[in-house]
Amino acid sequence: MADSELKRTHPLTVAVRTVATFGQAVAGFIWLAAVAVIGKGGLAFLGAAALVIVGAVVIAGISWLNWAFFRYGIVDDDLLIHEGWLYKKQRSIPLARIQGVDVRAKLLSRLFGLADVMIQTAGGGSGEAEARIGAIPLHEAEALRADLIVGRRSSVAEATKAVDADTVFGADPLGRLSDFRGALGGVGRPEAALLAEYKASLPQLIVAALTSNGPLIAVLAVVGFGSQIFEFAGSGGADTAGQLARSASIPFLIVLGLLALLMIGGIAVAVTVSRDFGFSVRRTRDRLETEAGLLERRMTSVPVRRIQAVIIEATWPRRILGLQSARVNTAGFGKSEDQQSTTSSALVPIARKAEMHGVLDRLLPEAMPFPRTGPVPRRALRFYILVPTLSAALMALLATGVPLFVVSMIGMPDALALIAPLIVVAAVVVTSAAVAGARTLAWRSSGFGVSGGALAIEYGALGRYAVRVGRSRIQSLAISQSFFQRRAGLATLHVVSVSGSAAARFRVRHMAAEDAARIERWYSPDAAPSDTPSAADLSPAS
Amino acid sequence: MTHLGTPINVLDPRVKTAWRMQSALALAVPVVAELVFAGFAGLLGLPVWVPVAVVALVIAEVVTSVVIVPPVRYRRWRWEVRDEEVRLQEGLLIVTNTVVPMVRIQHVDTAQGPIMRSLGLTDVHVWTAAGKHVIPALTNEHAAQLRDRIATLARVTDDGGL
Repeated sequence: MADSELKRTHPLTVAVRTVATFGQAVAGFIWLAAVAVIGKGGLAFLGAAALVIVGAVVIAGISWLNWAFFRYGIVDDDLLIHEGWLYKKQRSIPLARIQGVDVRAKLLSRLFGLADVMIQTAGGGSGEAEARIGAIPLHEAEALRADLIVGRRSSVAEATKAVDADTVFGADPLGRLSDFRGALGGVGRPEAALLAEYKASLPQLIVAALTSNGPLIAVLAVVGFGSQIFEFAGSGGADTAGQLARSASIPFLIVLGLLALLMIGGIAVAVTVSRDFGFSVRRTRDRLETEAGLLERRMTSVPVRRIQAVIIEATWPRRILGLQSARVNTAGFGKSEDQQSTTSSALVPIARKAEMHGVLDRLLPEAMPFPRTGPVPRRALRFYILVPTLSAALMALLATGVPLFVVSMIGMPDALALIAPLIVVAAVVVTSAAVAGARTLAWRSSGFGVSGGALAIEYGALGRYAVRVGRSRIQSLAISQSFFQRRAGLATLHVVSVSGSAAARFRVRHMAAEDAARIERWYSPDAAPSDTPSAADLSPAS
Repeated sequence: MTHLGTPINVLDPRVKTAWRMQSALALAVPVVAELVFAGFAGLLGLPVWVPVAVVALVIAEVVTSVVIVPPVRYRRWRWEVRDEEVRLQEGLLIVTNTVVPMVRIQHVDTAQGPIMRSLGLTDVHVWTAAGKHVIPALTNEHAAQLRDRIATLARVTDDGGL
């Protein structure tokens, strides 16, 4: 597409951008000038002024270049944007893929009757994916917005293969769901029919809080902090904690410490319980609505279409007790009033393992059942263990060996010199054993399975986690193989989904290469139909 | 493992030059810092093997990233734009095969920095909701054609389902 067929933005853009950028830079200039003036007086002031002027000229020059190289236009069903002089970029955004269009005018732009058109696409993560056209006259901006919306509607309508367009993101800033908005919800909707409800009782929430990481982290933080204070007191000698430590009896201090920890843990539990107090989740036709909180009642409404993944979690203490929790990853940008910025929300704060699937069946039948999973092969075990254990052993060696070596160079007491090698060996052995154990558990926890339209991945070590992602919610899928994996017939599966506006990555390490290839064929739209097991289970090859 | 889906297209051979220039640029600052350090090692009273080791390190870095890596990367890189998906294969020690379905592609850019421009090459960026995939270093015309082709293929609608 030749530049000549596309439009420029308004020339005043250069002025608007220059002022905006300079405004951000000017604070820095003022600071520099102030330092110079205080330091050296008149001559320095001239220097600083010159610097400001040069800065302004450079910014104006760059703004002019940016403007001069910028072109945009709607051609066929695409929005084309050509930009950049050093780093040139030509973007082609299918109208059907545009998630939202905003017209924005900052104060300075408004003075000139100009506005920017902001175009949201679903390209996640960096702000790079969001396109900005401006500044252009306000009426042109409104017209462009209308063109983009009308164009996107018609191009969506044309492609009638599926009703679902890109409601993956359900942002609906363009009203594409307006046909059935009455039935669905949104602002001013009639009371939506309640299909299912789940409530967590107070005892359940207390158990959930007791087994969550919050109290544990609080207690550990206090223990760490406390030990620091005591070390300091021990070395300082003169301050009160030190005196107390020496004067009071040891058992008294231990009891005092335990009481303090109990209190801290109790407070953390109370905070968690009050946050989740009265948790309930309701399923209407197209939404999950959760409500919780004692002091502040929070309500979240998640359109089911925006759910990207369902995750069942059992942290270590919960796993021992046979308990699980569940949450969902959702996609969104948190910009239109209809959607929350929630990216991952609790769905079931706690439930018995045996009941969890039943609860999810009622709340989110679309995501059930989870595909049956099977383990990664036995030959993968050494891959799980070897590299992490060796690197942990090396870290332990360095962490103990280097300081001891340095101390021995400076001059170390004989007693320490005697046990120094033992300390190093013990650190290496204990660390290696712990990591090897954890990695063995990780190997045992790893699993995967495909059934019909979804993939399930299991992972964990002390805790266990299972995630289910629908085929149409996997943004891309990759299989990687190192030289050693290839020799052993293993491969690592990478699945990229979305959480919020960022990528959510899941992987299965060291699965059988033929299983990875089968999952790739299951995912690939271009794989021959005969290769594609439509609804058949794809459990790991034994 | 041989992939049934191994993509068929290789990159433009000039990409090796581009990668060499990019690596050289990226290495310039650390290399200068290391050489300065080696030069001052004598003044700091360090033993002779220290500057020798630093210079050896510099040579190893430059040889690896400018001489060895680009041809290997080039040999590994494969891409293909099919009717319903984009496939990429890349990697040095770990080879990664990626499938990006057309229905997941949100939009597509071509992008060209100064080094690529001097060689007449352009990258194609393919965006999904979860981020960007890059097909590097195609000729300018080819990149533009490919961008338009992917944009057209990506217009098909979603297949739904949770």
